Amino acid sequence: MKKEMLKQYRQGDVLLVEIDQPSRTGKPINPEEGRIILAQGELSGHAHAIRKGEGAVKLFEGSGDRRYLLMTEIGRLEHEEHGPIVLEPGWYEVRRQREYDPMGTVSTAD
Amino acid sequence: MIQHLSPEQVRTLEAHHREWRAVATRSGPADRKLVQKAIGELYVASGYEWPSFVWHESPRELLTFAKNLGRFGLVPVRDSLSQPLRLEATEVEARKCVRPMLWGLGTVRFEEFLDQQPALVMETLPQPLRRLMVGSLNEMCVGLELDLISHHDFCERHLGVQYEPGRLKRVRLWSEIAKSCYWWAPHETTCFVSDRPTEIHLDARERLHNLKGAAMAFSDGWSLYAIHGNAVSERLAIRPEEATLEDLPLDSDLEVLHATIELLGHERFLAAAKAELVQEDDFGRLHLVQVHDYEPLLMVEVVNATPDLDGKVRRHLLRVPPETESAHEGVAWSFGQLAADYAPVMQT
Repeated sequence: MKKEMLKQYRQGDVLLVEIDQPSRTGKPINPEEGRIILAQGELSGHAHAIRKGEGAVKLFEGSGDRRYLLMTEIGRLEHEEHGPIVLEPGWYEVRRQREYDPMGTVSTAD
Repeated sequence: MIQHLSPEQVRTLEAHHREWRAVATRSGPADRKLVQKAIGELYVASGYEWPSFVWHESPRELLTFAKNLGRFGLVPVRDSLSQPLRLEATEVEARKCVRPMLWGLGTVRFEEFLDQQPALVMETLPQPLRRLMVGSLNEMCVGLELDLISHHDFCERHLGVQYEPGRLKRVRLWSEIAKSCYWWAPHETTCFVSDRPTEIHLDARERLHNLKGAAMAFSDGWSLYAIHGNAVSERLAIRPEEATLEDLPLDSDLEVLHATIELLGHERFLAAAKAELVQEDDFGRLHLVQVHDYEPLLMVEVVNATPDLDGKVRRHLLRVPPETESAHEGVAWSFGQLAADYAPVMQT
């Protein structure tokens, strides 16, 4: 039987994977200037972010640099250099793109 | 003895630290009269006769001169001149409390920050001069002494530490010398001194860096090139369109690798690196670069799904593990997925 693939969305160096509600999450991450920032480029300052009313979207820390995103309403993930992605309500795991480094793996930052 | 610093003292330490970092990266000619007076007085205060001075425009010129002399050919006196800078047993513990890194000031340790310049000089010098520099390191002041000078300066000026007057006078002379000249090689009767660089460029993390020219240059025309603290060839920095495999710092870290790709553009980078296209699929192209004596570089070339405002489509090169067999597998790995599990329904 074919395994059902979890829905994935990619915006540049960030991948969102639809998941069931996680059994536990880390601390909530507060919005910045009315935006929930999923990831931000160190040099460019460009951000993968969702602008939503309070309560409609929540972001939590996960293991390592992963995050958990809870959308209680439909919302739009935006970025200065990438097209927007409309997200349905639900839980998502947020993954940053990483790169191979013989001296240790590092995240990319666009 | 100093056990901790008050918030006020930490703020002072921060300002003091910035001041000394600025001293370490100052460019422009030395005030020769002032330097000669300070060095001369330091010689006399240390029991030597006032020396004669030989000035050079760069460390390379200074070392070339020394090489022609058969090394400096005189008795070195750096160790006895630097006696007042050395920490006494009771001062060692105090120094631990005022180390800037302890208070989160600066991006790298001050010793490492100072060491960058002699390290780049060493890397750039031709082989015979490099050997001479290694052999003469214990005879020359190459800027590393700024660490102790700035420490004593802080203790004396901001922490009220009492120094014996004779020692204090000599510490202050060291401070004056450090603020004006560059490298100097003190020997009995003669002191060899080099001018400061005419320019020094750093990146945001305070490493020697310039993608548009020299990272350090001297008035005799000698220029040194670096990307994020990594020495690179003049050709790579000045004429990247002519860069060949040997110019590429492929054994460096990812930051240097990506800066090099940015400098050349990814197509020219792949051509210069003699990259071999090993596989291609809907997710990108997989390129292999053989690096002499190092792990080969396997890179996935991916295309931005969203074109830039000017309509151009941006490409990226992403380093992936050497065992990667396809672009699909490489991109999936970059998001912590197996190829079979990686299939975004939407990409922008």
